[in-house]
Amino acid sequence: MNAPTPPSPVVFHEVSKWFGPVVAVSDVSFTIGNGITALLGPNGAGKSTVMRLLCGLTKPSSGTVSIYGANPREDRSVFGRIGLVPQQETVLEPISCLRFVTITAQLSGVANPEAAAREAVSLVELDPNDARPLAAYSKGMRQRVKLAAAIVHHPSLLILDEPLNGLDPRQRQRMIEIFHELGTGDRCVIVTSHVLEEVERFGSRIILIAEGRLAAEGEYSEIRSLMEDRPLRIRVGTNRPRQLASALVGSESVRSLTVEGSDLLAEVVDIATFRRLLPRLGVDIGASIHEITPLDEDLESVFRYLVARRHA
Amino acid sequence: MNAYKSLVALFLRLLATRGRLAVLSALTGGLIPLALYTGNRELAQFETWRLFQSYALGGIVPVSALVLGSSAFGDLIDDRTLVHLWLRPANRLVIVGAAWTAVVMVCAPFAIAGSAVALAVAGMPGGAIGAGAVSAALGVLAYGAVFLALGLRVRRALAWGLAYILIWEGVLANVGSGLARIALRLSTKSIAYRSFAGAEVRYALSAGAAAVVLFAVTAGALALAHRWLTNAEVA
Repeated sequence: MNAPTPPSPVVFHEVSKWFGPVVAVSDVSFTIGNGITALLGPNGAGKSTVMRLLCGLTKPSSGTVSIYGANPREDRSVFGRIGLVPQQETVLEPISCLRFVTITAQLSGVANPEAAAREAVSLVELDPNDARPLAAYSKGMRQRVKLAAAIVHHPSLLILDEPLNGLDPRQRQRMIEIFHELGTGDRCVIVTSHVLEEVERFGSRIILIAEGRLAAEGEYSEIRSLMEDRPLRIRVGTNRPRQLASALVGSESVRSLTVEGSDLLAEVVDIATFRRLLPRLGVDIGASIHEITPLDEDLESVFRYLVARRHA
Repeated sequence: MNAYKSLVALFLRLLATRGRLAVLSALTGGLIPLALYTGNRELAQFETWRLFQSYALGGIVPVSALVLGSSAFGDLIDDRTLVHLWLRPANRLVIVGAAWTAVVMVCAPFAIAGSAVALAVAGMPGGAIGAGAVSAALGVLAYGAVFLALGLRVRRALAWGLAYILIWEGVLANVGSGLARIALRLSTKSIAYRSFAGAEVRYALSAGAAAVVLFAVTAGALALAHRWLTNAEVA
């Protein structure tokens, strides 16, 4: 007889969440297994609401959330398997780091809470013997305190909401190493971020959330190529915008051209060809090109494109 | 130290801020001039007793319980730190019980000991001091639980609580016996009145009935706090 399949760490099924007239999450479904998964989206996309839903911090307006087969709003025992690093900087300010982490260990039912807290605090490279209150800690130190509290009970599902905020480059590198260590084996690590390059360093599977909807999901390389396939808007600063536009007409690398004063705005579908073509045409018509600026390299525009593509 | 004791210690640190202690000290400090005034004027015992009931049981006890009770969870909700305690498999009753214990512990030296000292300074007999302390203590337990629950349920719990104390207990409860019976102040005053005869209390309950009301309100408020914490939408 086959052993029953263990339930997936996270299953979202047709989940929506609205606050009065505002729809924060709309009909989102996905499954997350072990390893590192990044929840990526611009600010205000609904990532934090998704994160709150999967921790049971808020109730879905419709649909179901399942964590290891349990409803986190109804089965409190599942909290023993969840570790959360919330986005907000605030911690319980008047107590020391060790005290804070020890209390969270006690509330999680850890057998030897102080020893576990010392181990977790050391892992994030803080001093367990530092008696200063948390109010005296820097933003980066608080981030690590929250991580220590999140891992002190050895959760199998670790959720990190914008965990690299406020960290210096060395701390960021160390944190990413820790995430990789934690993401091995039978542990599920979910990291939310609005920075694509950050997610690249996690080397993870990606779930893209935009405007409260699931815009795309897949491996990092798949999402990256989706983004690279999209048309890019390029501003070209030149002394002969109309002549340059006429020369570009007919090129398959360009979808549309608009002249705005001394600038030429081009919607480019093949950036490599466009980059080769532009200087040659400039020389041919005697135009000097003094500026080439991509207008929508930011993540917001990438998400807008992916959402529009999904709707189409 | 177990989780409950650790949480009590945590809530004590969170509640006993300099600002709150200064407010409570100023509030309780008002009892001493009052006691000196009544002591020097050699007022009849029932006058002193009436003043005590109005200022201590009607003001210090509910206001100090409000300042602390509404902040216990209210502050954690406002600064979004409740998540650190909430997202744990611990029984919610442990968290609520620890918060309430801390509220009572910070409140006690001001509301209970302060009242007893003031009555002693005013030259009241031992029976009155004991009755005052018991009625203040039961009031702290009940008001503390009510305002603790309120802090979980509404934003600006301090303002709502003050409105309850000033408008409901201060004004509406004097209109009729029905409204008065809903006010906690009637129960605390009734215990003081029945335990040490003095100034008469309108619509007074028996000491037993008043104690039952206070214990029932305490238990009910803690049960509500447990329910509201369990079902809280946490940021």
